[in-house]
Amino acid sequence: MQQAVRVSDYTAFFLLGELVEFGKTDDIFSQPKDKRTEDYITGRFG
Amino acid sequence: MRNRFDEQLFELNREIIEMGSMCEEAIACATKALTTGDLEQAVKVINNGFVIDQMERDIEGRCMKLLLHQQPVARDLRLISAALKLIKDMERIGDQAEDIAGIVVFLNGRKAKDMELIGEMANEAIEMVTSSIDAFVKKDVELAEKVIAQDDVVDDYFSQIKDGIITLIAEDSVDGEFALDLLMIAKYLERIGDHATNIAEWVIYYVTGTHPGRFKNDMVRGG
Repeated sequence: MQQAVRVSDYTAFFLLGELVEFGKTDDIFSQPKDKRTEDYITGRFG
Repeated sequence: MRNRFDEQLFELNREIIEMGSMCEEAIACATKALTTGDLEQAVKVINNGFVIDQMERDIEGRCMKLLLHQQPVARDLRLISAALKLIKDMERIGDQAEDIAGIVVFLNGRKAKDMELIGEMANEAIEMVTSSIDAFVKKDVELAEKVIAQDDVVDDYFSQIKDGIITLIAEDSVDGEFALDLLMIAKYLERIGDHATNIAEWVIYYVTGTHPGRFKNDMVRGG
């Protein structure tokens, strides 16, 4: 996942086929809007 | 893996709270020494100064380790980066309490009519520090905003005390060194208010992701 932060400008988070959140990589990894995104990137699930 | 990380974050929180209460105690003791002339309290602050410094280094070490091992993101990253910033402010608060205590020892019980106002200013500064740490503990943005607003009150006290000291000098009722010592104490208290404000701003950043006075997310974008 850290590699995705390093190389991408934009990030999308999909969960079970659903697009949960899309935005600038900086935004997604610093202040995600959706709790499911936050839980995933912080290792709370998945 | 996440459990271990959560435990480490919990420990980090605990250490920050502990350091915060050490700082609160330092100013409270320095103020007590100033207003009552109890030099024992002042010596206590001076002796405890190194403990606060050591705590800063310990927390800093923990944060660096967490950054390296966990590569935190989102709220975790904001907690660790806010922690790194606010421990610096706490350490400065500790230093300034120590500086006040040093002057109190030097004054050796000497009083001036402006002492009462300095005491009031000190209480206001202590309240700011206590509330800023409370805001961190409770993740309370509203309380953090209150601390930021309270800084104006402390700044006003500083102006009043400064004017009072100018009058004392004009009346030639105090010697220059004593007047400067009083001014230094007021200035240290004013700086303590500024550091409490900084802590409150970092609390807001930690909770909301936006640092007051900056554009949304420009911390990460390097703005």
